[in-house]
Amino acid sequence: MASLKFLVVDDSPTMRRIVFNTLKRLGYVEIEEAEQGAEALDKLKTIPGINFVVTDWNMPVMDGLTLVQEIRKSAEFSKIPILMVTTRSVKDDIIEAMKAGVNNYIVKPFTPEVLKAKIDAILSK
Amino acid sequence: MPEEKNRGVITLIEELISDLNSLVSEIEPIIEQQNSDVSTVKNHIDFLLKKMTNVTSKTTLTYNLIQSVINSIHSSRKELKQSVDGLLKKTGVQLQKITTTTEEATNKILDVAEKLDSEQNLIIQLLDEIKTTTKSDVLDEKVEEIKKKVYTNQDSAFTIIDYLQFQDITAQQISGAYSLLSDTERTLLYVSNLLKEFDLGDSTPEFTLPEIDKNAFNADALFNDKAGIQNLIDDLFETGDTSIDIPTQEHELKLKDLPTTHSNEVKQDSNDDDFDIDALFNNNAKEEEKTNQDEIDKLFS
Repeated sequence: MASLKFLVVDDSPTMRRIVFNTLKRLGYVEIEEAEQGAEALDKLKTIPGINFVVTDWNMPVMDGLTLVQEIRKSAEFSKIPILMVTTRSVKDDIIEAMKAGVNNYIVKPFTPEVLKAKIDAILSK
Repeated sequence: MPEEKNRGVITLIEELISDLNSLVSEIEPIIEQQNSDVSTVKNHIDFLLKKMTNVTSKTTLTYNLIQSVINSIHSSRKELKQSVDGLLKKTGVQLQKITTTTEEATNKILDVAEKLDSEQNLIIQLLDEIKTTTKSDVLDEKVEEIKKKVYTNQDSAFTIIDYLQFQDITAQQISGAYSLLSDTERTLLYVSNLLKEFDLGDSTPEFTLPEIDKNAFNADALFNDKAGIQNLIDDLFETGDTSIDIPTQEHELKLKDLPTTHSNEVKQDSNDDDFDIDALFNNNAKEEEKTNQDEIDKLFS
């Protein structure tokens, strides 16, 4: 398994914990967390080695879509894989996220199998 | 003047204006008539006096009517404010309490599930130690049997963790309700403020529910099986074909479209058309996901 260091971005502590547990169950051990987009950007800059972002959409301060746009704009992190995990399932939203640059998209609630499938799909590209 | 009471403030004021105009038009010629005799002037003054008395009584009636309208507006505003400060605020606080309570409970359940998981790992370790220290085929067999059971328990602990996603989703739904309440409060306070001029000097400070960031939640969040919609999203990402139809509301996705093979059986036992929790974490989902992965691999390759 490739050495992945995740950044899980979600304003819900419960959800962060669930994603954290699921990733650990899938065998990933390096997992950082952020409550919202702005904090995620800070962590990307200050914690070395983060190479995969799993982000929610609806968050206070800076939402997930803005975070994706900011990451894609930055020279340093523009290529980082981003998986969006959100409750939003409206087609226009999904297309917006796609255009913003998310690599894949999961609608909550998700199963560990779906999370694994999407991570594998992103890594296989 | 019971009849006049039913005529309304505007009519009375219009009559008042008309009476005053006619008074002016009557006074004017008298003033101009320097040569008129005293009795004519007296008659006129008596007549004017009568008219003035009538005008005064109409004015008093108008004043009383306006006063009663003001009182009515004042009491409506007071009730409006009481509803906002009491009912709406209490409901808002109550909604926040629900979120806090479920979050606390969910975290406690997560603590237990995580502890269960780590205990199972310890048991596996201990069993492996027994296997290494005591060489016996029978024992090995039993140890492997126990380990299988332990893994099953561990899976159950993980399933509990998966189910706890409900907390995030219900919290977003609650935030949606809170936000609606907050909007209603603001509208009512706006209406109340429009009527502020009618306060009788006993105005109380206005409270508003703390604002909620509308980007922080999705009020349409639903806790149900997303396999069907996830397949459509996968197709969209894989093909880039934006003409793929994704239902606006999750419940519009018919059960036959859901990939879980046992969905129909589960649904028959369920009274809730929107909720199929068994399908969500059905063991067969692995197989279904495998099928989806095949499609994904094809399209993403």
